[in-house]
Amino acid sequence: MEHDDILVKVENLKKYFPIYGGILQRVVGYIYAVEDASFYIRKGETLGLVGESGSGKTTVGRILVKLEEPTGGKIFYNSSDITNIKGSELKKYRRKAQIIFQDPYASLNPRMTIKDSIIEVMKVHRLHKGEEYNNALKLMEKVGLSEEHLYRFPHELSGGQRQRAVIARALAVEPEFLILDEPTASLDVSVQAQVLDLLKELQEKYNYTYLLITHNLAVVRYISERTVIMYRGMWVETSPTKELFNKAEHPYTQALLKSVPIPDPEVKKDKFLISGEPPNPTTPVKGCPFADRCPYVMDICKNEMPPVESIGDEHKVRCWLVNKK
Amino acid sequence: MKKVNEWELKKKEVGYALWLFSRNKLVVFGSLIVVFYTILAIFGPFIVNPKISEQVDLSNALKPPTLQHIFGTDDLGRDLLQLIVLGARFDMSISLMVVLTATLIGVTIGSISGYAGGKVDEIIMRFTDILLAFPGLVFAMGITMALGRSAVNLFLALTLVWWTGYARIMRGQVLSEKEKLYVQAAKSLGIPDFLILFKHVFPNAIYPILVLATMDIGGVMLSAAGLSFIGLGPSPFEPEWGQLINRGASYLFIAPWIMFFPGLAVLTASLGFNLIGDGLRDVLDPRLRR
Repeated sequence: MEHDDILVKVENLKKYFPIYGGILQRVVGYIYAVEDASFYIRKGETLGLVGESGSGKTTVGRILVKLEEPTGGKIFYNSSDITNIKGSELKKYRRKAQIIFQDPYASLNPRMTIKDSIIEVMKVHRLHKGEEYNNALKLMEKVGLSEEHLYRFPHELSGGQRQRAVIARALAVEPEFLILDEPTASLDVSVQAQVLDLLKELQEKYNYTYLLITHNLAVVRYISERTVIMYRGMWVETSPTKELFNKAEHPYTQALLKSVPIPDPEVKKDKFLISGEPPNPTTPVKGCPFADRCPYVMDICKNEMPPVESIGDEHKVRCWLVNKK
Repeated sequence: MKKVNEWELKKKEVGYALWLFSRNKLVVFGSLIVVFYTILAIFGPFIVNPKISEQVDLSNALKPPTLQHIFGTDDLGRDLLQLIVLGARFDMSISLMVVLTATLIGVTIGSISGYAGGKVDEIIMRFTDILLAFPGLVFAMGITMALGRSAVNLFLALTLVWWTGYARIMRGQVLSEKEKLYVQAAKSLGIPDFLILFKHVFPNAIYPILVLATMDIGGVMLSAAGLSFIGLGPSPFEPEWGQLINRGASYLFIAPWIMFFPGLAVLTASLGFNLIGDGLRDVLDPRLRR
């Protein structure tokens, strides 16, 4: 079922953050941020990674650009294992994979103009020697900005322009793989669509591969071919996006889809929204992570991890309900 | 290819920065004071008699201000105005040097402490805690008393007392800056650690220190004069404001001008630096600059 043109493959990724306590600052526990993230992304494809706050989706993104070290699991890029690369290999990898953060203002140095930020990146990687400025200009055009924006400080740009500038900077290293961590969450609704369109357009032109991390299902539907749903650091369902919207199998996915607001006051929605508290990330999962809040919970859910069930081409679910059917 | 004229932009920015700086009348006043004392410090010995402090003329002692001696004379009959003009060099240079050295040491140690973290940070910070535990002026007194009375020892004592504050602030600044998203972004862009520290963390962390240091020049000047006043300054024949105040203290009721005019010099000079520090903050921040 998997194909040769897979660019990124993540297997059983885990990340536990230690909690320090006491006078001696000893490890007293862990935050189980990511328990099991597994997925693959083909070249030129967009994979949506969806989950609520605290589901570990951002941590997965940060691990993929090596800002965090995973506690367990493996990452393959172009079929080579990059889980523990360092030094020059890491620098090489950083030219290929780039991350766009949610807050473009915070991700730009407030004391550097856009020009300095972009040119610095090219200089570090020794790209376009002597032609840095012209290339910065080209990048600006690519993302729909103009030369005058190069001379601005981040605070002199609007939110959308800033995100475009951040994208331009990421493209300066000529990456293949972009991790978009809630790229539009901090923008106005009108600007969100523009930025998404820009990302789509860039992908069509230059065949970039995207991992889109978001909590916004509308964004996923708009831009990604396949989607992974995460809950409490664990993937619960993965499927082509269209199929997911039509026949989601996991109760959590179903609840998510039902909680998307419909802009029509006449429509009466049935009230199956998720009840209960969000999970506590400091206790390890035993059984299904969603068991505490699942309306269809069974005894087995609480004690045993559901097996992965394949229910169609590239559609997999991790749920006892599906297993029992 | 270039359509935007970079020079024009830079000129505009500098112009705007100057305008921001000059917008505040107090800041302009402060800079005028500082410029005035700087000129005195540099050209003082050429304007007045450089040997005045050695020319004792007891027949002229304790003369009140007259046209001939505008600020009057001290207990040794020396012209006070000339002594104060000459004193500017010592007081200005010791405050500048102390602040510069202390900033340099403090910023270096603070950056290392903040960026390295862990055990290194712990050791450095506990050491500064020990130094900070002593009241500054008393500590400086102790050091000069132990080392002996001289200009160099005064400088050493004040520097030793002053750098800890900068180290603390710099460490805090670096700690908060290095967690910011733009540093993470720089890391993920493959920018090497030393460049991140020098080009990203450092410039963003240093500005509050620059403002503080400018204001501190006045503070150091007061402390230097204070130490000198209690007899821990340079040799008695070095013209220095604190020492002149000390001389005047003995004659406060018969010749108050001996104390008054050097005191005024210390006060206005330190005030000047304080006022500049205020304006500097506006100019150094690009968010306020354009």
